[in-house]
Amino acid sequence: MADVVLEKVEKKFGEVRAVAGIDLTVQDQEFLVLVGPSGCGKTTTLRMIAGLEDITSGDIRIGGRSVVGLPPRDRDIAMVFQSYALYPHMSVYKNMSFSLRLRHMPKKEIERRVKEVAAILGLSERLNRKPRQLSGGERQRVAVGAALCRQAGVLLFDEPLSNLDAKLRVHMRTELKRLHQAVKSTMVYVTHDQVEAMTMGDRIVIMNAGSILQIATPLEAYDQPVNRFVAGFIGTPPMNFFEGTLTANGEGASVDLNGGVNLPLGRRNLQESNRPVILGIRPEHIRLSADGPGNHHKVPATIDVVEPLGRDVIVTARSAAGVFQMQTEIYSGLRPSQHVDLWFDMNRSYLFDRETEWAI
Amino acid sequence: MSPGWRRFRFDVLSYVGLGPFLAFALFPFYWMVITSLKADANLYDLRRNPFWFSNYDGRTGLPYHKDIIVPASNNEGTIRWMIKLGAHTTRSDSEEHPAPIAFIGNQDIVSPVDGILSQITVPNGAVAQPNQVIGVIRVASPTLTHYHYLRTTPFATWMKVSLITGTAVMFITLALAVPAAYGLARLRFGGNRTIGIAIFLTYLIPPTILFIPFSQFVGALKIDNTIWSLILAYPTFTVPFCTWLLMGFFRSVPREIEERALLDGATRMQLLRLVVIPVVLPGILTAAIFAFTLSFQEYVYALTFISSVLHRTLPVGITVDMVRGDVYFWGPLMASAVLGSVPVVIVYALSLDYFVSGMTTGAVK
Repeated sequence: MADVVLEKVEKKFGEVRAVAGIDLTVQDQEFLVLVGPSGCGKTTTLRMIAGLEDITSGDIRIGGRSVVGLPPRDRDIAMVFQSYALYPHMSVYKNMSFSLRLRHMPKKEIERRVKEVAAILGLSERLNRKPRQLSGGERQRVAVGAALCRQAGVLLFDEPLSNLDAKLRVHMRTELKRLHQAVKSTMVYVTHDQVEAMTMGDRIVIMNAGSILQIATPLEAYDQPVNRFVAGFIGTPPMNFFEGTLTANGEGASVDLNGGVNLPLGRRNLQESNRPVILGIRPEHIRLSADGPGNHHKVPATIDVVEPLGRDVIVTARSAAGVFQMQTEIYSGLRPSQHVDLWFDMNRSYLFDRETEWAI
Repeated sequence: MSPGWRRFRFDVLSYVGLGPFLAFALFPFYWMVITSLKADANLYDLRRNPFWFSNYDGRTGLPYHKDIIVPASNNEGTIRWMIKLGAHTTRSDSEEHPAPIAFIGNQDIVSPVDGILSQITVPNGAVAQPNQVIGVIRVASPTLTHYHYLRTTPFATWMKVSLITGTAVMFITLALAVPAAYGLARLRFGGNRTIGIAIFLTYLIPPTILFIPFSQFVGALKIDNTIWSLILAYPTFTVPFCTWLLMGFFRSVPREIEERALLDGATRMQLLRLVVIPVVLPGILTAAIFAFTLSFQEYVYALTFISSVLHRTLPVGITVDMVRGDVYFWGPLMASAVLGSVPVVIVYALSLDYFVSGMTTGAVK
């Protein structure tokens, strides 16, 4: 069992609170992704689990044992660094076996483990090379391999893919996910890339300004964002936001946007009137016609930019309520400056309080 | 344009561009070597091309030569001769030779001074008079005369003293500077910035100010006039310098590598021994060479602490012995300088492979 429990963990650098008392439980064998913009405290959190940063207050338990004050080597963890952190003077084999050699494991066992991991990662032919003779992708795999050889209870990843080119990154994403299914270690993965978070995590933890905003499965985070930040962070292209006023009457609630655009909210049971709100709607929930299921409402708009992606097209449009983006199946009839009626699926819309920005 | 040709053109242009720098850097060394190999007659002949050897007098056009003179103290009947070549004199060791002049041409006699017997003006069998010029020998340039001359001086002893001092200081310096630099560069403790700056400041105080108090100190320890005085004094400037130098190298080690080593289970000492020191090896070698050369060439302390001729270091020995009053014996001076630079050149050559840039390449990203 190697679960990781963080209790009211706080980290201050001088007067700056990098992590503001977070609670987090990583289940045994879970793939948990910490995601957020730079400076949100996700890497600090990871480094505190690793023991590379002291915690200011709170408690961290790994496998039920408090590790506060323990040096990194006694925590049953392995880590993959963003910069790979390979030992430049050692061959790939020595890099991968370093931790095992320090633990005086029998040579035979070391060789068996390294060869096994090298085979999984496709590094068998590279074991005698030095890091400088490897490509970026190979270095990255050596870094992962070195962590895997340990067979530690918890594997920590600090943005391991951010230095790879886009194509390799997508490939390694799949590889890492497959690896997790094979080795069954608990994995904590830090990234600023929400696509990585969505695709890889069993659960994702969205952080901002040192606090955890939401812990959820990727689909929960997508479907039920707790506030405007999460809603805008998860999903690409990002969700559209419109400032408006919530009005309720006998027949149901609706939102008044700028420019006299009024959108009924349908079935939602809301009583308040004249509440300042933000309406959020994802680009994929805006359509060119009212056909199909959903509660569609018309917004007249002018097309600004058309960006074809192949199967889909991203359209940036201007309306009286503001500029927004929509994503729809490719359709050749769209031209800039063209006036169209676009349809918002109000069943898939989100409402946030304009003051607190939390979801209503 | 093919890539091969482009590459070739780049190489050619690089060498053309670097050529002047190379010439500039090597010129003092060239001057030193060529001076040490010139015969004195050639060395002081201002009419000849100073950048190369010549065997002909710039004024007369005749070959450089030296007279073979019968010494003034020559007693009649016992015929002695000597060959004067600048500062060097070769005398006959036989006092009762029946026909001594004939022996002037003997290779065994003439060759040690590297002259070529060109002319004997006294007929065979004649009795030479005191101060009589009995012949000339040609002076060859280049010549090893000045190097042979060093054998008549304690040059080898000075060299030994300098080598022992340099090596001892080098090891003492590394033993102190490596841990100090790592601690100052990496560990967080109170006042490490202050200590770092303090170490740098000690390096700024010139030895010319320190040598008087130091000689008192050395005298009090009763180690004056021994090699120990230097082995004790030199680390006072090599340790601060090398600490400062090594701090930069330790800072260039990616922090992640050390963090990974800690996660991999290394203790601080293992981290230093297995990861950090191998990575900064070029820096440590640089520091070692600096410590060695700084103490190998040091002058002020060596001059003031050591008075006996046989305990002198190379720079002091050379300058005291080969500069007399305002007369510089340029040939032997330069010959000593060439030989004195040999150990440094060897140390550099042996460690050249480690200086190849990019030791940390591949560590991060």
